[in-house]
Amino acid sequence: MSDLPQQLINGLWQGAALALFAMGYTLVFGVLDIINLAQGATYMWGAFFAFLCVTKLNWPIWYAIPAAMVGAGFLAVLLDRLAFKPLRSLTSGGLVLWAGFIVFLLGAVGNLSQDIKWVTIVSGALIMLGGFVLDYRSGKPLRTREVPHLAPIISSIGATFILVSLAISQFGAQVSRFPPNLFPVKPYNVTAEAVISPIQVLVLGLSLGLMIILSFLINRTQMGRAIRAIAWSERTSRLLGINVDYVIAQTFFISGALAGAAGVLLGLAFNRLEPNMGGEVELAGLTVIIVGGMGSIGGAAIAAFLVGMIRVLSVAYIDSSFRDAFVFGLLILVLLLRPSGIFGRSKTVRA
Amino acid sequence: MFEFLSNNISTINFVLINISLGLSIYITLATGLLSLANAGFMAIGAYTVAIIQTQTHIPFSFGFVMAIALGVTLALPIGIVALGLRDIYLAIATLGFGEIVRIIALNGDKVVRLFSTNKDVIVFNGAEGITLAYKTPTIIFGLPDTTWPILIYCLVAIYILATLHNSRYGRILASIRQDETAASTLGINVARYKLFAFVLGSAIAAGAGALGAPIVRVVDPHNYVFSRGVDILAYAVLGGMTHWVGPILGATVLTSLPEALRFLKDQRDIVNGLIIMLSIIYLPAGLADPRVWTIPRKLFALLGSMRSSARNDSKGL
Repeated sequence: MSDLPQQLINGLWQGAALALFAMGYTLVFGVLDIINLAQGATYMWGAFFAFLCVTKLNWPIWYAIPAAMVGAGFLAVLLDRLAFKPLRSLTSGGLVLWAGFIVFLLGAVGNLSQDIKWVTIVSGALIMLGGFVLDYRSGKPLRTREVPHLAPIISSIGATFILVSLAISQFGAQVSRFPPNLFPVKPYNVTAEAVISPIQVLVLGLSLGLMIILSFLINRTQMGRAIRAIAWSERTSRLLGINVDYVIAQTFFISGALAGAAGVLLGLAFNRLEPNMGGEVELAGLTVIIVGGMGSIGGAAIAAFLVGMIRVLSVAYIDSSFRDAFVFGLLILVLLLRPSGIFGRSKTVRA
Repeated sequence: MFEFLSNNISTINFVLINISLGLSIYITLATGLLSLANAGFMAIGAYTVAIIQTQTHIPFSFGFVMAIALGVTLALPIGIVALGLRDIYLAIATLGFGEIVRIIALNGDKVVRLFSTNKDVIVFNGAEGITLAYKTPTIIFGLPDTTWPILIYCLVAIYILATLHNSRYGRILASIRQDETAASTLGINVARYKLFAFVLGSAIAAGAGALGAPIVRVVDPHNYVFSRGVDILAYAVLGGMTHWVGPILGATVLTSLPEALRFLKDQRDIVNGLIIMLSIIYLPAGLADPRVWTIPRKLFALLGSMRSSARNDSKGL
């Protein structure tokens, strides 16, 4: 057990990154009551955005991290407009957006010659932009309906598949790595045996910083008040003149940016990027938000550290191949004993 | 006719297996439960058959019965504890179950060795999976003897679900889907019927997995990952979740489409994802929705009268 301090440090920084991911998850759930299963795909794309910035544009990592967060944020907004918004209210702009998306996909993965490929991609993106604006400006939706419970989950599963296969077609299914020497590697000594590398310090520091910024945004700003108002009742917020669509887009942006940050940080820390990396963290993230209580941001942050510790300690002391089994064991245990989560308020819908 | 059958026998096999799997998720969806455990139960069925075939000399038919029995025995306790959970919570719990099954299949040998005297015993064979011996299939009435059981199984499953659909049970399940609270105020024991649907779905999935094992011949954990579960979900979503014809249509279209459109083979997942998203958004009741079949007529009517706005068209969807 002499390496226990080391394992605790590992659990701490992995838990911090997991907390970023899970807070975005739980934020969207709190506001819209939907589980965005495509969050894992946003996380993966966040990591690859940073990868593209570093390898293709030769940006230093300090620019690549915020760029990846912004990229992932916009991706999450786009996902909302494609996968969730049409379920709430269908507009003609939404149809145009979808048409543009399909043209874009055709260009991105279709078997076309190089010139036509780029023309298709760009025209798809332009149609999408037009659809986006039309969708935002449309006053009268073609259809509004009560969202069936299962529809958003199913739709976000579909979105995950598209995003992951898109990444496979662009980067290949194999592991991509950041170029070496991006970061100093000499570890600091915390105690005699336990060390922490600079990248792990960065993960921990940035995660804690973003957590504080998020709690400030939610609790102290006008935007945060609007988000909380919509979470409480969308109808009332609309009556009070809150631009619900815009605030929902902001929520998705924050959630995506957090996922993207988690993706870059974990991608850097393990130096391992692959299109399927979202699936693993997604399942851990689901555990976190359930243990923390659905929709509770503080609960998610605490639960993330708990799950991070369990993951690290089970690898260190039991068997690495059963790591996820332990996480799921915790998930099922909490679901059965206290479905509202350890830190959840019983006011929220009971499972 | 026979030539067509023998040329496309693998597609036909997969269409039949997938129809059974689509039916297995349909019965839970028709009750309003999103259970993502089907791929897990399929793995249980396939592994049961494969282990019995490789470790003992018991005939296949016994293994098939064992697979369904094991599926039911596992589904009962899981259903009893998990079905207290509502929509997303149930989806997440069943997803967790599927992953646990996969982890056990991957690391089963470590567990077996704990309890066995032989420390090198290989039962599950980890990520490589179990390879079944190849037997040249005998052709009976133009179909190989591996296809017949699936065909019969599929027809039996369709028959059961169709009978169920038109019976009191089917109406009860539909009422639970539409409004659980209202159904319980009518004196329906919601928990019992949910459990019934879950166990039936799991048994169908386990049986399909068992019958699929001799056809795929390699039973490894990668065949039963989450994405397989999503494939299965796509069949029911595209086809429609309210009528048993739905998953049959969905599975047939989605399984034979990649064969027909070979150039899409690499992009299968993208096409699957698009189909899931587009059909859940624009075709919420699936292909089996009777209103879908009137869309062409409505489109003609729309073209005929220039005054019609886009509003009427969307109502048709």
